[in-house]
Amino acid sequence: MFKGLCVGIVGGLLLVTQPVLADGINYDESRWEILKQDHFGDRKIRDGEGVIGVDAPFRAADAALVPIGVEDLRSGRDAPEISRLYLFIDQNPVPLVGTIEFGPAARSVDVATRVRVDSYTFVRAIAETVDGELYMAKRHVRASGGCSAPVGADEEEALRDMGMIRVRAWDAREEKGGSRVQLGIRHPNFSGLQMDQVTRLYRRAHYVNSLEITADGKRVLKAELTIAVSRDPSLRFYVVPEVTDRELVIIATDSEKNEFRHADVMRPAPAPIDFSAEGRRDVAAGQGSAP
Amino acid sequence: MCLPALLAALMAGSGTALGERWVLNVEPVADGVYVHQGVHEDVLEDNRGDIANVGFVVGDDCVAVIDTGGSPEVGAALRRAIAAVTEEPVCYVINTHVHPDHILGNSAFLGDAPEFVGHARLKAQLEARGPYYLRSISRMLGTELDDDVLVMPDVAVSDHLRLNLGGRQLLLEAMPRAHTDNDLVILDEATDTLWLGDLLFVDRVPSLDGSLRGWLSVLADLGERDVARVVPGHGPASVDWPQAAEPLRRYLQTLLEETRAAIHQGATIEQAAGVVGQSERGAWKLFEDYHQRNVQNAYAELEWE
Ligand SMILES: [Zn+2]
Repeated sequence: MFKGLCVGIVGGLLLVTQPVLADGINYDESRWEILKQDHFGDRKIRDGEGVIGVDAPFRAADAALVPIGVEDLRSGRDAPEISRLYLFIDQNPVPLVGTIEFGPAARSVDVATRVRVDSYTFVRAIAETVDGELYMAKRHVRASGGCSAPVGADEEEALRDMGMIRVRAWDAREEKGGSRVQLGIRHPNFSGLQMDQVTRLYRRAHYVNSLEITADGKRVLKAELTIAVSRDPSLRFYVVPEVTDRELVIIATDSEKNEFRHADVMRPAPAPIDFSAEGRRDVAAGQGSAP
Repeated sequence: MCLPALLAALMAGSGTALGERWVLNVEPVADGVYVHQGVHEDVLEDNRGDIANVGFVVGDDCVAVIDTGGSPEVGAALRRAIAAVTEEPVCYVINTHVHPDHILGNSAFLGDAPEFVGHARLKAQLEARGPYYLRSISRMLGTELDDDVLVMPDVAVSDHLRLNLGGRQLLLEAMPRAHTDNDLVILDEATDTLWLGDLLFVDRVPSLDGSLRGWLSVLADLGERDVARVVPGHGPASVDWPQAAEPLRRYLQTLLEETRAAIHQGATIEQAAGVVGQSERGAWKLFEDYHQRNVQNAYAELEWE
């Protein structure tokens, strides 16, 4: 229900071309014009309709942990294969969140992560197809201070367990025709924008900057990431059914050249129950609480 | 376009109107123990950050302040309230934890040259979070707060500490990670009054910034204490113990069980934020403002179990 509401509001506002609207929010595209030139030069970027969509909250509950996702909208369509995704947060100090290259073991380009959002901003995804076309989808998010927000109260714990990798897999054949994998890496992901009040120095950035994921020896994806990713980096993605009960290998590296590895056979749990608006009632009813 | 500007001007007006004459109204909850109840709102221009409970304890020799409010103006209004009760000096300013609504009034007490006392982890957290708090609270108040507003603790409590106010003692105890990782509770031994800071929320929806499992366990331990009354961080000035903790315990337990269930049933963090704890919606003020964030924090903690 909430999601539907957001689509309506954001969609409506985008029809207006003026950057500053009556609600006082700056739907500014000027930073994007610069970013676009930097990353894509004069290449044409098409509307992502029917190719990809961006999912992000209208207003973030916590600027240091904003769930964002890219939705693959090509299913059942004759759309070209996507080889790479770019994620941007226009108004962040480091606007590029990361790039993801997909391999043969990826079921789709559906991915989700959690990011820091420093200002009211557009979050946008650009998909690059194998034949070099670019498609874009965007969503406006209201949040502020995410990049300079201090690492939470678990700082000591985050450092102690740094590099611990946790993988959960779900049977998502009905939903997406493969398995859904949720990956988490314990890491403080210091943004370098958190100031030490005593020394007046900014703490050095220390963050997970690359991820390489293979299943049954075939590439699922390779990601290059920046400080925009929240503490304990999280990534959700889908793998093809042929590799679902095979070994999943994850190699993560951070900006201080630490390498973290995880290898295990995926054992997808039964299909997740329906958490969409229609499915919620059943979930609530089924949950109960212990006596 | 004019309307927001007009509203802002009106709000700023009502805030500054309080100005130099603003004295917090405090109520005696026990002999020599005074508490001011903050409002159940977010920090806004017209409440000046007066959203948390603050107060003080009067001994024979001097006064201990417990939390100072969400801006130097609230701190100054608390200082005036103390002056209206006693001429004794303020010898200690105790902060129950790092959150800005409890600590940004500290600088109003610098003139008393008290010792500032907090949990052993308070200093590190205030150093890390201070600049961010100043920026965001300045924006919410519509008043620029400079670096001097951040007053670091001089005395760190890593386990227990007794403070003597003359004729009465305060027992301070550092808690393990719960509401935050730097929660301190204060017992006034003379009246058996226990100050819980934000380990206890009444009526206002709690905010989780430490550990959900830790908070439940700290609440269970504190529930065993035999005290005459407790002072919550948000809610009435004084409440009965342990009954007053029941709604909070239920909220946290629901958050724990339903977030755990959602994770095991395959809900994503976005999906969990939409389904967990909805039975608590009617029970709390500001539920819409903080609940989703609590679910996200609970999810990020429990997904590592
Ligand atoms: Zn608090």
